[in-house]
Amino acid sequence: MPVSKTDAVSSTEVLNALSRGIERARAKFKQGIYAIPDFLLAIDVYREGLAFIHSGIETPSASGSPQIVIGVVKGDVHDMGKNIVAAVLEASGYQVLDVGRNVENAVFLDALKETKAPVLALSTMMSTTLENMRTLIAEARRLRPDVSILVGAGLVRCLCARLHGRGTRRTLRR
Amino acid sequence: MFDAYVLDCMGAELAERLGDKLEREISGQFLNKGLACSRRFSPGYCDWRLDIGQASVFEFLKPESIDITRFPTGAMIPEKSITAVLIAAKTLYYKTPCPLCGQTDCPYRREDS
Repeated sequence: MPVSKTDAVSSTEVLNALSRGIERARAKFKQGIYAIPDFLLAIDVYREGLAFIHSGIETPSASGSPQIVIGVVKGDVHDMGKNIVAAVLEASGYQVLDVGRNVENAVFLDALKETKAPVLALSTMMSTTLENMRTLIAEARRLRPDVSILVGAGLVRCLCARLHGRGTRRTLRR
Repeated sequence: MFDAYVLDCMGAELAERLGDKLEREISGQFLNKGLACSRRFSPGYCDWRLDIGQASVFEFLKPESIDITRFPTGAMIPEKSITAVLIAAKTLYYKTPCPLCGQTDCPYRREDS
């Protein structure tokens, strides 16, 4: 049923309803009730709703510089995981700058420099890209010693500790 | 995102099934000539390094002629492209290296020898 902007529901009420909806979807995903496809459907609906109301109402996440720079490292073209993570982060209220796939180290570093984002998120599905990822992480830390770095992909769960000797986090795909 | 996710999964599944179909057809052709044929084996499997293996396959096959691009890391565009090799011989003791591998909990282990 088409809903027009002149119906007796304010844009703020619609936005609040969308936010409650995506929050419930996020909770169900975290509990394992929703699988990835379910959560992606919820994100699509949330985005459609935001695009519809598009009334200039600013949410806390819509203002300010990007908080997370995310991309797939050079030499890798697998970006579905990165796209999912970026969408989930945006639906969770974060401002995300997605720099794409097969991204040169310089592009990541320039984005970090320009946005001053506190988080750099790197994605790869391959083992042959890890050496360059290690280089990029070192360069990012030299540039921004305070930056937090997220690394994710299929193989990296077992290899993360090798990369920088720290603990791993669960990846989005279980 | 939902559509993209489903299409990506479908693309991966279709590519694998096509690879399996080609493997069966090629094996059948070799069988008709009295030769045994291995299972298909791709760069990146086991200890065959993806970047080195892919470079070797590309040097032999020249897939650039059908607009497949190789990255130095071994990744390819189009993204769902598959390269693989099969070995045909009069006698093959194993169709895959899996029976010789000590990693019995490998999720990709193939037991048919």
